[in-house]
Amino acid sequence: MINKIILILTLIIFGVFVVPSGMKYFENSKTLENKELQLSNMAIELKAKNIEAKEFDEIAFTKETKSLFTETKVSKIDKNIYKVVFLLNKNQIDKLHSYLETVAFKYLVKIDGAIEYQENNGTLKVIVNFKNL
Amino acid sequence: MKSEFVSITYYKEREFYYLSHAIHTKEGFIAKEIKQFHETQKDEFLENLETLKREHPNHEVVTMSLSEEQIVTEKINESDISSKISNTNFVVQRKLDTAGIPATLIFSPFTILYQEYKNILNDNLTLIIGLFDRKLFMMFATKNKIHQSWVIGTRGLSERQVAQRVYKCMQAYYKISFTFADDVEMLVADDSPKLLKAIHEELGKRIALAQNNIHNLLHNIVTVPNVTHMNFIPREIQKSKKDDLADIRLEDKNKDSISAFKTVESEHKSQYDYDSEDDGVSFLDKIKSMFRSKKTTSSLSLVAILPFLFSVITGGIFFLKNNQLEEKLALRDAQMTSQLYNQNLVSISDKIFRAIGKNGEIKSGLISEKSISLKGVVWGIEPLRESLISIYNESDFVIKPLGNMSTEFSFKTK
Repeated sequence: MINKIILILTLIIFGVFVVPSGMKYFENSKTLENKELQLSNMAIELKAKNIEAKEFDEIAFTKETKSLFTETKVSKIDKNIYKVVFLLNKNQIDKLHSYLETVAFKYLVKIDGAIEYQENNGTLKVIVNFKNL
Repeated sequence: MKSEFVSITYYKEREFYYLSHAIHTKEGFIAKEIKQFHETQKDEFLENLETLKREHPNHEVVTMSLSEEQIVTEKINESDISSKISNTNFVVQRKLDTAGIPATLIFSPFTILYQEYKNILNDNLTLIIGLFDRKLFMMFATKNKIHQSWVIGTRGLSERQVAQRVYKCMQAYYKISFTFADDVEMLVADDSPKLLKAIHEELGKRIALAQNNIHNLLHNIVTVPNVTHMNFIPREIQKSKKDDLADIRLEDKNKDSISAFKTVESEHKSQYDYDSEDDGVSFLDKIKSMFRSKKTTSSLSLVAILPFLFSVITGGIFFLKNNQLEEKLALRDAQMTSQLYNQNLVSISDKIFRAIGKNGEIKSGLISEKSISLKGVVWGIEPLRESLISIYNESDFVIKPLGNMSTEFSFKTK
């Protein structure tokens, strides 16, 4: 009797759990593959090296942008939001645009809200909030 | 007035049921026509069988077990489904499936063969071969006992291959007894001269051939004294029969014996199902047998637990992997949304800076996807207005002269 119950249970588990999970797994694998392909194409178009973005890290970010702009300051203003202040020569605006355009391929961040600009004696102060994904 | 005794015989060969009956007299039996029914006509076959039973109240319903899983032994367990073949031998088989068709006597081909040939047996070893339903039932026998038995399925095999297998059985028996059979007797239930020729060539022996159909063999065996002991239906539920054919009169025994038989049969079945570690039984058969058994057993079988574990583990792995995959997918979705948003915002900013160009300079500004607000100094008022308005036509462009000969502009989208 117990063998019968187990076999019936097996069939139920197979039909209700194994088959749908398996199908979903293969479906999701395909979707992920497509998404990664789309992202890779976007990265290639923007000349980004790869799509394997890391968690946002204040120190790594400051170190990386130090060589690109006059100065970069990062401060955490909320649980998931960082305020980033870029100081740069106003002629370097294209460089900043290029950087912000590909930042999501390096760090798992999204620009939160607007970009703020302030100019003072030829130095452009750009304030951007990054939201951690 | 006593009614005449009738043996109703049936068997299933391949997809057909064959039904016949014979009226027994003191001079012998008079066999009637053989009816053939396809397995899809089982109901019709059963109706015919019931009609015969009604028409002939004094009857036996006789059939032959054509299962390959039967063997001749010298000892039996109480729980075995067995029939006595001689004073020293029994035929044992694991299952006895009547497929819901009533029977009062079920014989083994080995019993039939023994009955046909027992009178010619002596001290020399005789190989007796019976061909029924494309299966060869073989036994090595002497006067006193049956030494060994084999069943060989011949389906899909050529006559030569069948003959070679018969020869291999001879060799196998030789290893046990150091004796080849001195004589070979063969009884076939259908016409098969090619097989006979092939066996003859392979064994290099004279083979005496007899032919008879299964119905006649069954009609004949019910006339044997103490025949009820020789069939598979347990003897304790059989009514005793007298040896004299003229006195074979069974009164309304069928219902009782059939129902009792079914009970015993189910007990046997469940016992065999419980003991399911037989090498010859396939995995699928084991699963089927679980659903066939009527008596419950509380022991856990590997056949049940392995698919269960396999399902749970496979399902679990898929479930966990799927969760990981969904997390990754969600992250990629978020990354793509961010990238598109960032790219769009930077594109707006880039357009604004290019529109201002050398016609002005931003002093402060706020650029988002929804709105733009700029303030700065303008040197070429009209070109700046035109280029900004060309991007955002629903916007306010306001200029304000400053005291130091310069002009301030402000731009705001609506």
